[in-house]
Amino acid sequence: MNILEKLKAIGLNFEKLKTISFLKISLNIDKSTHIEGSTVTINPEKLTGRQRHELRGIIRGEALDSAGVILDDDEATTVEEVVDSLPSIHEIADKLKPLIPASDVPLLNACLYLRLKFDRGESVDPLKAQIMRVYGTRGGNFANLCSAGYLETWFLPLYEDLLRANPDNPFEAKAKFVSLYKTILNELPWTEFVSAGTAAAKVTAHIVEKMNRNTANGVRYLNIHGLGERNVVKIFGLIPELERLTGAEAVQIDKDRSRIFVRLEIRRQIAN
Amino acid sequence: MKITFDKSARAFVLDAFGKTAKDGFVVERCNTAQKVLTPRGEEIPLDEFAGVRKGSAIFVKSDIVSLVEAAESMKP
Repeated sequence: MNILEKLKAIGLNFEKLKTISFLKISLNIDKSTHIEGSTVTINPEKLTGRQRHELRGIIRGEALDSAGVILDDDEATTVEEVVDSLPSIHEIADKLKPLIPASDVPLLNACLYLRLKFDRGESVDPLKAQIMRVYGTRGGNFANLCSAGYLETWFLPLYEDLLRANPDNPFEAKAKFVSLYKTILNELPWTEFVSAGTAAAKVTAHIVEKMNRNTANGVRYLNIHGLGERNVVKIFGLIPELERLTGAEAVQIDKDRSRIFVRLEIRRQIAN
Repeated sequence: MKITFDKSARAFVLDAFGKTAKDGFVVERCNTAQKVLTPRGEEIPLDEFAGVRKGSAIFVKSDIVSLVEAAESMKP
């Protein structure tokens, strides 16, 4: 028995209705039911006690089963937008899902959705704040890495490299990948996302510290990202000082008015 | 099929799943001292209750991580 039949069975007058595509529950209608096309609104307060009891059972059972989710109206639009974006999200998520901890898969999906909005030029600060509320700083780091394209340019190539280095032991390759993934997400060792609100002196100190740590670990570069007009000016103006303090050279500077990317790199010394 | 509720019917939907609200949080109706948790172990403030998804009735918060999970549960 489908939902329509179940609702009819509890005495709701849906005789002319062939199918229901959209069921709304609301106390804000002045009768028990309202039908518009295949959209049905039910006001539980206008039902009899028995009907209300039966409706609870239908919602808990067949309704949730057939819809998959019962949503607050206020969130339905967002969820529908996400549903439309799922093919794009899955295109990249499916490659990374088997490699990362299962608990990070929702983070991956949310960050890919954020990136789609970011790429459309929409504001993503509220979404990033929500992600950080759930996953903390590493959630923000993941969002930054994802939006900057590092899933495709770093993480997946890193795994391919590890597979090539461990051709007979894919488990070892994955274990090493997970270890590096966790470090990258927690510490962002090779990348600095400069916040617009951070003072120039603090940015400089942080980048110098990171670059020095990288050099000590045999990593000779650091990628710097920044968004926002004032941030672009700030970061661009810091480059000479950063080069002087780290001994690195800005080998790549990509910038426009609203975003900047700088790659600091320490050139290898050529032995005599 | 799509199913939604508005804020006026929030208590009814919670009640359908054996839950209610107390002190601003979603709690078990039969033991109101017990807060309902998301799969990540988060408590659910009433004003962040966004719905329920399939799978032993998983309660959804209104943050984007939870809404993306809800979207994946949604049936066409």
